[in-house]
Amino acid sequence: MSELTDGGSRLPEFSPVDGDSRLPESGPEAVGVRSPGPERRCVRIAAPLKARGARAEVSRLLAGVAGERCVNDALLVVSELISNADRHGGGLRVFAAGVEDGHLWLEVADHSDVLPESAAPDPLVPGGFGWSLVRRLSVDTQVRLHTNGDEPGKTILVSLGLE
Amino acid sequence: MSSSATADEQGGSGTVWYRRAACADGGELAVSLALSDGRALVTAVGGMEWRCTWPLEQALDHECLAATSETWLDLSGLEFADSSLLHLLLDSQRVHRARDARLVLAGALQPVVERLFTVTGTTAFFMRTPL
Repeated sequence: MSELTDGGSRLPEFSPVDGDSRLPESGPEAVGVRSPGPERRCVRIAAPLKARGARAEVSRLLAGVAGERCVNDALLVVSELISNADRHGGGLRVFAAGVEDGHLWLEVADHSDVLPESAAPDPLVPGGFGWSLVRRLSVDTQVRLHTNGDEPGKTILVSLGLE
Repeated sequence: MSSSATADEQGGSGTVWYRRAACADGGELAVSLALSDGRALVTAVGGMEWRCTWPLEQALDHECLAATSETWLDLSGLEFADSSLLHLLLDSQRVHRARDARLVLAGALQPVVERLFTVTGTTAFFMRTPL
């Protein structure tokens, strides 16, 4: 089972000193946002959750720590993952996401042990754009089948670099 | 139907068809179809995901398009779209080509939608024109 636990160990340390932060610079506006305090840089939500809700969570996670293009990439990826869980994965089970070490990590668990696949390169063949998009925009993707428990399922883990 | 609607349908400018779908996730997609100068103008506003593509599908399948040789599709009002938009557009483009018509994306796209085309390598698949 994947480590969908509390995000304590994944929370980056926020420091009012900007200089050596592990998070990459995303613009002068980011400095003011990184204030000390209980900022939540991790989220875990059990179904039901629609793609729109997941996008809102990702937007909130990336506020001030990623540029517009990076945020848009993350929105595209998370939307495809949630939609795939609903459409091909027997429904979403859990969504989790967090920011750590200059990366956005996403975990989407569903109720199917059918693996995602990309379409053939021929665009006339329907289906598969979504998974190809996820693969292209992420720096790492993993699929973990749930082997314990009675119900089939899998967790897709994706990591995107923040710029 | 009022006489003004009939006049519109006889080839003048003006909206001839409009649908608005409330998506299950709280989003909304509104699509309108207008005819002007022998060209069909389809305008989509809102968000598009796999469960909520039918208003645009229906607009691009509308019988009025058969009398035109060019469809301008204005997606500048889409605040988000996933890959279901690409499949829909590719299908429609095939249908257009089969009757020697053109499907053209008119106007700018919001950054996240433009990015969808870019990262999937489908930017070059569609003709573009400014609005």
